[in-house]
Amino acid sequence: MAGGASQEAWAVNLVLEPDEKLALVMRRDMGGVLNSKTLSRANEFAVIAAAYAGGVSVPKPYFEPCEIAGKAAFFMELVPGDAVGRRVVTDPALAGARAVLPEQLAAALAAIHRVDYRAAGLAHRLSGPTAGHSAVQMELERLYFELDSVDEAHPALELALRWLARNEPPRETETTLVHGDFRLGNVLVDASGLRAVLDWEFAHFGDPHEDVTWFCVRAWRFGNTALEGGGITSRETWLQAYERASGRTIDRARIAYLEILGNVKWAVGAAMQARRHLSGLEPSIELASLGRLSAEMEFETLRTLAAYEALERTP
Amino acid sequence: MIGRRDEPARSVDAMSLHDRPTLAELLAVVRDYLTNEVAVTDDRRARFRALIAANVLAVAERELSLGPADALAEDRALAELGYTEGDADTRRRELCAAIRAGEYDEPQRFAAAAAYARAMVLRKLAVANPRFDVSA
Repeated sequence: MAGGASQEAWAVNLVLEPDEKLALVMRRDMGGVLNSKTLSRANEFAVIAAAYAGGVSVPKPYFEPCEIAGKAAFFMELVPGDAVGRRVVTDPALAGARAVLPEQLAAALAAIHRVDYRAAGLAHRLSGPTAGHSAVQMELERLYFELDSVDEAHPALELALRWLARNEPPRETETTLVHGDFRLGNVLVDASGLRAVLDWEFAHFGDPHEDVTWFCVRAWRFGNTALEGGGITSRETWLQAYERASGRTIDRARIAYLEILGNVKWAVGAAMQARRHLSGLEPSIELASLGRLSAEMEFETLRTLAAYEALERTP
Repeated sequence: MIGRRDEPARSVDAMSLHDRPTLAELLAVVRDYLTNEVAVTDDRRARFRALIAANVLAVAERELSLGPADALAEDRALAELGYTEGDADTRRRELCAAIRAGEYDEPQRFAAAAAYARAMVLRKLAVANPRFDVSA
């Protein structure tokens, strides 16, 4: 099965007794140097288990994390559906699904943000803001570090990071479990709509606004640029659906700020993915080509920055 | 012009010592092969990767064509910002260091640096993905 950049996913059919068959997915490390940004398989399993217990639409986790042929792995239910972002956004057969997805996705995200991560024992497994730091400060610090690791000159990103550092919003008022990569492309969808939220390796704790914003970042509209809510709905429809599902009032200015930050994050992320190929760590034509995708996020970074400034100047 | 022996096509490629296919044509040959032969498969993943590879070659073809003008434009734009010493990478890095140090915080200077950055990003996009909508 198509997996992520550093894990592989296998469909596994398990026969427990003559009558009991389980259709499972095994998520396993691919070997090589692990990406320190992402959760270990054991921690990813713990997050999925906590989400499952919290009523979030996730594949049911099975057994305990283990090692298969020397590589860390875990098992979860095989949920049918399509996770390919572009197909979910454009396939005519999924038009009915797209009509209900915004509400379903908002409900799922609100449920994620309701998970009591401390009670679930996740506090020591996940990263989050340290005492005295806001989530934004931590993010900016990490982005500067990552940009430096790429060792390339990116004036557009330098300008954005400088602006972001000098225009920080007030510190977040709450800290919740955050999925970290909540978007189409990471959710399983079929004709009935949302089946399961996948790809939890970027889970951490922080500002729930981060997840709400990431869903709107242009790259995740898969070509339907005008539909700012994940390529399937308007931005306001998405924000209001989340507000209803979560009981929170979303600060639109905060979303606008975090959208600039989100574009910088993915621009830097794409450059780092290309580095994985270029350094020989993980030869892959897909990773290599991401190096040229960065320019799209740089454009969007500058555009959202200019839009935010224009908004500020409007009385 | 094909077939007109009295008027050969004069281009940068025709100046090359090397026989045809030209550099650009070599890239196009492989791109066409990937698109029309390798990508024609029921294996979805193989098709996906072959099309990525074809796109990579298209990017290379565009850079071959637009690269020299881009280098010239950047050279001029950096000079306008006051960066004239050293190669392009050195000057770009100097600009980045200055931005990080706060030398472009003042609104007019920020705007000047942003204009430079936007102009360069548009050039990057013309090579990396000319279909990207920059009309916003």
